[in-house]
Amino acid sequence: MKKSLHSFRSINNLPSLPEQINSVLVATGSTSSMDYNIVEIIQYDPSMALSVLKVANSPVYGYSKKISSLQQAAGLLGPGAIKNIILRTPILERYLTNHKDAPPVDFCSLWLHCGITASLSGGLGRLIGGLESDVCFTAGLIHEAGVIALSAFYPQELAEAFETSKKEKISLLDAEKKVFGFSSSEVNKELMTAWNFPDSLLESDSGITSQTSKLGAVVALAKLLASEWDYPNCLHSHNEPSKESLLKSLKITADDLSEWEPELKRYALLAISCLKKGG
Amino acid sequence: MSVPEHLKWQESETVRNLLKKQNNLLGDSLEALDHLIYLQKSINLLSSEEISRVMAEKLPYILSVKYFSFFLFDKDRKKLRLMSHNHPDLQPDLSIYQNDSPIMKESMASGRYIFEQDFASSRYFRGRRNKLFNSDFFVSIPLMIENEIIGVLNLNDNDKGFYNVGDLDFALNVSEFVALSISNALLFETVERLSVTDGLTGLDNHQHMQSLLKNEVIRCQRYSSSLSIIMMDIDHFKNVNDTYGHQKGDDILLDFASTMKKFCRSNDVAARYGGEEFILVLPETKVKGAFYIAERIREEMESQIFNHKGKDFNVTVSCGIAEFDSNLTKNPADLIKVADQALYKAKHEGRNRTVIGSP
Repeated sequence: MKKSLHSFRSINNLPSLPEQINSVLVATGSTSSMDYNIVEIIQYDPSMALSVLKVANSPVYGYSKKISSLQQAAGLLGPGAIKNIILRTPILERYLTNHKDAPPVDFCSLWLHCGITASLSGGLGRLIGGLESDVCFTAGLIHEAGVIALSAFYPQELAEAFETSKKEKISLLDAEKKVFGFSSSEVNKELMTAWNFPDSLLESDSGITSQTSKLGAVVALAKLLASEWDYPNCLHSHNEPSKESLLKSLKITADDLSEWEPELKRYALLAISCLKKGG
Repeated sequence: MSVPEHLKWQESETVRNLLKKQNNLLGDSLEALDHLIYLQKSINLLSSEEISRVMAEKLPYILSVKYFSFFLFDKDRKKLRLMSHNHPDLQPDLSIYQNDSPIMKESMASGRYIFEQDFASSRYFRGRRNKLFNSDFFVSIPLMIENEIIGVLNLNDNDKGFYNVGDLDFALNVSEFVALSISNALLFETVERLSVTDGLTGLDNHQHMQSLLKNEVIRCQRYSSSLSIIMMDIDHFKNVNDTYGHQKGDDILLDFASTMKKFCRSNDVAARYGGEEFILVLPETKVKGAFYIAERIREEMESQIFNHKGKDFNVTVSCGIAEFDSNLTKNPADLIKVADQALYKAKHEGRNRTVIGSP
């Protein structure tokens, strides 16, 4: 049954993994508010980051379409409001009511992939120059929001899309279009539009497939590196652009990338250690 | 006896759904609380204009509506003046009699909110549908401070198409914050206005005039711009008081103040200097222009006929003018001194005339 893309506009927030929510609650509950940096605690969780950005970009705070990083949002909202946002984050039920209809998504791997892509995007943004590192980080973190939304709200249909993709040997994005009438990438964009995210973040998503923006190309390259370093999203969803074309569009060479590799790997390890604490 | 598997499963499913619902409700409450705290911080201001701006920016989102309007109530005139709104077509200075809006009138009279899920079929409907609204509901909340109505908040239209009890409950809480902030700001503005205004005539008082004149003199010294002042005094005012009584004297002062205001331009300052003495500060005005204004005021006063117990009488004024001269005028006191001397001369030469002073 075809769904309406517009229905995603009424979604308030996306669920996160129970381990992540628990880890954040433990961290915020066991230390005094002066002892922790709330952004550090939630920075690798795509759902929590999306919720915080949604609130910060809401008309209430007067900065609609202007807040593109967790650091900016934290400055605007303060730790108390962010803690309340985390408390509102629903739990993703990975083992859904009807087990056999659940989509075959390895959510732990997906979370790791998002966190590492964020880390690498932030690092690449800093090393390439001319980009805001924390905005690159955010774009990397939330690039799979569409898949998370489909998993949470239409799990059976997403499972069907996986099945279609496998049977017809087409990409998951194409299978999603067949089943839903739109892709997870479009869902991602719909959510970001409804939640008043800045245009730069919206463009970064389209960049993943078409490389229309520099930010999009950075995220695509980070995603590719994450997969190369054994942290893929396990969705086989995109017709990934080649590394060469990404390097070309970012005006960097393979040598540059080799030179930056140790530093980028350090960023990735940091994300892994933070996320594994939670999982 | 062991519980069958399918019952266990059913119960765990029920518990899970219940927890989900509880979580959602708690989430909504937390969000509402955050909004309330932030709104309270945002509208904790002393300027009603600023509060209106913040309301227009934040209120629709916080109250889950597309449109809102807030009217201030003028209880003496029984009028409602639009203070804040986000309707695209409403005139900014809209003012209506309370009788023109039955729903607002009743919410104020009863001191209770009115919530009509289908406004068009309610008894408040006057047959004119607002084309902006896609939803049928209309909420009108009176804003009160200690049983005193200060205004009405109207809420219309949203994406859901209806307004539920939870939304309304939250809107009532928000309206109390808004009422308190607006009331504070209005009180502050009144006190601020009174502190710079002459109680009888409504013109600027002496102290405020001195401060404005000081700024004007500084501006003239910096930019070499022109500035003139007119000192004015009602002739034989003591006789007026003695003959017709102080009440009549006050009426004449009021009348003279309104004549001064009539000839004031937007940047001019009209003030009561003290007693029956008045001053007009005229920025960017040379002595010739000041003389013209002084003469028009003098002639206007001369032509007015006052009446006391059937007896007509006239009142005249004398005027002294001073123009700022960067070489000879060092401060406001120098300028006032020149104008005062010119006024003295006008009195000395027979009153009801204008004299230009020289430093």
